[in-house]
Amino acid sequence: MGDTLITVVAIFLAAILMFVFPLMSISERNDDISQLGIQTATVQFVDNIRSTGRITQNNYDSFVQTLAATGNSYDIELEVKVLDENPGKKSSQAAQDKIGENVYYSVYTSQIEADLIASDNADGEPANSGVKKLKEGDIISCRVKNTNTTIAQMLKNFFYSISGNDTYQISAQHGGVVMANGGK
Amino acid sequence: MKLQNLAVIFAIIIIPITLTLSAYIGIQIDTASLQQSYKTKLMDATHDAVVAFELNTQNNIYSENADSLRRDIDASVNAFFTSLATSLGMPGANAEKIMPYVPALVMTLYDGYYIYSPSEVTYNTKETNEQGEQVNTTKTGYSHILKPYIYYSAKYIDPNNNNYIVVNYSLDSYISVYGRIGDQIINKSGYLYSRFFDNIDEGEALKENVKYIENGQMKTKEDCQFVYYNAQKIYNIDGAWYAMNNFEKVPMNINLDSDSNGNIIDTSAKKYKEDSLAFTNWLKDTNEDGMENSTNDISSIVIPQNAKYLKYTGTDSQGQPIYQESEYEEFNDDNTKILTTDSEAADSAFNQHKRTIMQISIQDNLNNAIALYNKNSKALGTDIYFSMPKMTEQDWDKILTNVNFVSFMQGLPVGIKKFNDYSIVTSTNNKQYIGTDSLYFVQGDTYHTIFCDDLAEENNFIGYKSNDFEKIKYTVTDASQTKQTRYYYARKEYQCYKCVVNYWPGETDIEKLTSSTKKRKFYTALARERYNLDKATKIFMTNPEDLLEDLNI
Repeated sequence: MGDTLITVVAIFLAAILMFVFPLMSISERNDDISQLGIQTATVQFVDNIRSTGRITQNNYDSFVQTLAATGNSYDIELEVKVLDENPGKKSSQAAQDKIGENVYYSVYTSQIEADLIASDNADGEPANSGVKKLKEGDIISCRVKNTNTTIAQMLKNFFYSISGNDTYQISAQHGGVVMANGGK
Repeated sequence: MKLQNLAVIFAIIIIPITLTLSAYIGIQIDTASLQQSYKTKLMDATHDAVVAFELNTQNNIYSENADSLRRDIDASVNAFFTSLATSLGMPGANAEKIMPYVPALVMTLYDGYYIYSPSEVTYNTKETNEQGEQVNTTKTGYSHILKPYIYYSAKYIDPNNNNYIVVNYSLDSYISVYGRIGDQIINKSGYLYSRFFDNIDEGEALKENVKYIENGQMKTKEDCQFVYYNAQKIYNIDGAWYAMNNFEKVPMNINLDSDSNGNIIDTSAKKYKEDSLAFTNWLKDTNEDGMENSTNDISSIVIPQNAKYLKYTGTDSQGQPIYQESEYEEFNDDNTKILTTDSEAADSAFNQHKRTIMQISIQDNLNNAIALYNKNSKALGTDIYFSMPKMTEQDWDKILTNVNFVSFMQGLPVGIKKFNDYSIVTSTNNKQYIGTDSLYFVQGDTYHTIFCDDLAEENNFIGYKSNDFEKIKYTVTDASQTKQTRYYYARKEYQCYKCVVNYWPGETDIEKLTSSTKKRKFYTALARERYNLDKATKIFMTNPEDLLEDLNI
């Protein structure tokens, strides 16, 4: 009887050691590599926007493809804070020792994606030819989170579950000030 | 074998493999993320240097003086190192520890560039000699200094005789030509004529807000009329004309142009057109000023002879445009023409040649600076091998068409590699250079870019350079003798939300503008601002005789 119990425990332990433990550590390494991949891609995407001043459909598409190549699905959040200097100018003209009370108003992912679609309006409004142009002083930020459950997450959930519905394993974010006008 | 032994043996084999793999991947991840973060920090530090340069030259009334500009560049370089050191976690005096990793910094300006890199310097120190006395000795060492200004220039030599020409180029079509042809020494400078400026306004009424000191008090005059004279703004205050010298009024007693109604107007655009035409004709004219015996026609170097251009004659069956070569004709807005040899066109022979000269000059001097650094890097405390990185076509395009700050950083250890990268940041808001997207047009109480739909052609609008819309600093001393800094705007108009706050999303190519009124206003503003540019090394185009005549001498 004792022997059987020990045997069962031994087999159980062996199973864990031989299958679960290596699988967990290798899949976590996998997630680390994905993390590196998307961090690099995000930083490059945002820095490119900062130095050229434009978000193009091509750049955005290749960014999305690079993210998808890691094998996971991601949720991308873009935010552009557009600098409006008119309130600062109005307050400076009223009180001449005050400067810089500028306002940033935000434009989010779905609005940016709508601007990027190349199209001509029915009334002949200017065509957004697949480019969103920013000016110097605007702030761009990008945040990427994974939305599927990776293997490491599944294994971890098997042993202990993390409560909350916003759990993500892989994320990257970057942002900065745009340094050039998105001219021609 | 018992099952558990097998399992334990398996675990003993797998665990070290996993640990090694994790460690290796961890190092790779650190390397890649550190490299990205250094690249971002380098770009941020370069941007800080550009912002410092713009702020300093905006408020520096002596920025057209070459020595004063050197001080501004020194300040920008300082801003660069401080910003880089702070973001790398080495604030304060440790900024000097970063210097060995920066082999060169390049600041490209209107007609040349500065390089900031290590060079041999001599300095005096006191040393103790064998007798134990303190004596003065001179030593040589290496430290980072701002090298002298280098112009974009090229020398053209005729091998058959002793004729030679040196041409100094700039970012737009301003060139300086000097040399010897036959017995004549020649020395002239000016803008090259372009057909785009054929159709411009004869005179404009310019206005802006101005502050001046009168009886110890700072007064403001709104919408004060001004004209440009010798690249300075001359204001009409209470019927008399004054120049501003640090808010002090300087009376100017000069002859000004007026229009048919007797109102004083600014005719810089017209003068630009006439001067550039005179200069270009002088270049092409081989029967004037001792160029009779010239076997090297200067104009063939800077402007191809018998300028031809491509005329748009319609579309073919697939809707592709057809162009036909034809001779010079009057520039007519109704025909769409592409001028391939006009100096304003980006792909003209003049511009391509000029860009080659500029690129060769920058590359050669940068190579020399970095090679010198390599030879003596031990004296600077590092033993890294520095090399000039290969820059892409887009990078060169940016460098050769704008005022830029280019920074190189090499040798910082990142994980298993050494960091080696560069960063280029353009300065768009400065007094050095007027690009085609630096002009804003005032209509009512907003200002627009030329492409904006809200800019109605029927109403009158005038263009000013973007630098005129920035705030200007001044100091006042109040009753308790404390100095206070105040700011005012020379122009009171606000930005248009369609085209300035949100960058105009439509077409931004000036050649594709269809409205002839807009084109005329645009080129008038461009001609006027170019004619009155604050160049640090500009040779004034006013002839001495005209200057004496204007001053009523």
